[in-house]
Amino acid sequence: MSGKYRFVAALIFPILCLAGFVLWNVWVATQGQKLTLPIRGFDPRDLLAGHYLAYRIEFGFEALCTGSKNQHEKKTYICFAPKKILGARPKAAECRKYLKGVCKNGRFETGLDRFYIPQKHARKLEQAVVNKRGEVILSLDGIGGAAITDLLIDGLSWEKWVSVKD
Amino acid sequence: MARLTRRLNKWCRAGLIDEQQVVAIEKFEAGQPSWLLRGLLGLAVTSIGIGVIALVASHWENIPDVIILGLTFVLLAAIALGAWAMKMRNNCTGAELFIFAFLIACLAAIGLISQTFNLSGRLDHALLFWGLIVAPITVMAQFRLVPALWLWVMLVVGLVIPIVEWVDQLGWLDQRTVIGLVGILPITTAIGLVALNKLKRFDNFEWAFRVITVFAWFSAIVIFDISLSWEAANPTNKDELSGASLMVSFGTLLSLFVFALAWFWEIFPRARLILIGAQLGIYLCFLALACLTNGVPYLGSVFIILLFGFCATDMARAGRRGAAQFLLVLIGIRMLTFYIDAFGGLAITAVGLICVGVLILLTTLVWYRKRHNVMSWLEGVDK
Repeated sequence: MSGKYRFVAALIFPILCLAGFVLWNVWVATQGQKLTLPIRGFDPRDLLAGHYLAYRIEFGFEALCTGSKNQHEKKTYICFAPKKILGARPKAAECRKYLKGVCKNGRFETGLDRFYIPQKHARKLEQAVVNKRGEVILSLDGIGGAAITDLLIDGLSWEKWVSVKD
Repeated sequence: MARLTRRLNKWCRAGLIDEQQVVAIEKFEAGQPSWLLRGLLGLAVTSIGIGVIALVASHWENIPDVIILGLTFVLLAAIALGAWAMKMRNNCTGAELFIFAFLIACLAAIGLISQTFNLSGRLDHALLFWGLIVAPITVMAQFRLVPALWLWVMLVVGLVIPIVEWVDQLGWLDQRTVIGLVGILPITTAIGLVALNKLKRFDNFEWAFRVITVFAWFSAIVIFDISLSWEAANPTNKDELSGASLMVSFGTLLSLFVFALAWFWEIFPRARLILIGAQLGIYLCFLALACLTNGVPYLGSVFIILLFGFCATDMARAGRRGAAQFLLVLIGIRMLTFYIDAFGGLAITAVGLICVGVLILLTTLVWYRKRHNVMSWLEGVDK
């Protein structure tokens, strides 16, 4: 390949990677299995970090990441149907609706603890989450990952909730 | 340019070059791309890039995600086209600026995609992803700025942060381990430097590796010296040395590896390799003492004098007199601080300073009388 074509390929490569990244996220958000879970703020003084709301998802597993073994990082899988906690990736027959995370310092970390919001609505949304009125819709990609597709307040999409409130 | 003109005129007056050559050299230099112009343009592009990232971060709620993402890709494509057009016109400065803008735009795009899909990844992971996708275009950059910035960012997010996290997971992250980690950094980057030297390609990356290696080497030495002096006065708990021992062992293995590479690939002449080996040995002893002991008074200065002494000799042999002189100045400064530190009181410090002064004077006199012999040996030139 001549230098000219190599240069063009080097410019196109990142654009293709970014396009692939977008398409993958679109696929997960639209095609994945949907799951609605309640959220709560873990630091009621300040849930806002820049332009996003930081929260914890309540997965509904009481024994999740408890015990002294979970003080250091440990890969963990939670299956929603049937409800169980696993130390390794479940087989398709065992569980189809599962989420991968890491138990760290007694917390189940999935990287799904952030929702970007416009700054002008930040305080109202923060207050609603503090008051335990928030939920998130997850779209599971089937291989342990997930994307957050919406933030619900009182069962309404945050955009609708904000417009109703205004 | 004015400095060059002054020098050229001086050489012309001395009869070393004629006036025609002065004019030809000045004309050639005037045609070279100006570093000031490049710097200012780079600053402008950086400012615009940061502005774009800030705009992305401000979250335009009224514009649908599809349009925002579409505009981002249009912007990326436009910048890429600009870089290609400049490349076709053989405008190196223009192409480089567009490449720089493209890198910033790629980073902004990752931020925007994360925001659109509410991805909570860490900044270092985003930078690692960015580094991987822009690696091919970075290799093709012609000036040093882009490869250097890319390499330094990648070293931090792809090497330092994962090692720190790994040591932290093992539960060994403490003050001594951090000193060891700082100590192995220049050895690690030296592996990259030796490999690129062997390949005889990627000059910009080699330069970036050299800069970071020298910077990390100086930083590590300063930290070792402070650690030895400070810990001697404030001993810390010696019980937990797992992390520090790991770093010293790892540093030793890496040193042996890099030295073996340099030796078998014959990167430098054998005499120079022996000098470098001696420096590595002293450096490793310094690293081990700084990591594993509670400090030994004044030993830091001894190591610095030894290490910089060997290094100055090495620089002189390599024909880099400026670097050798700089290291000798550092040795002088460290000797002064050593005397002040060792003697404490004002009167005794004064005696110490006089002693140092006399020592420097005598060394200089001996040096002046024997300089031809010494330089012939150091630089490998016949008398």
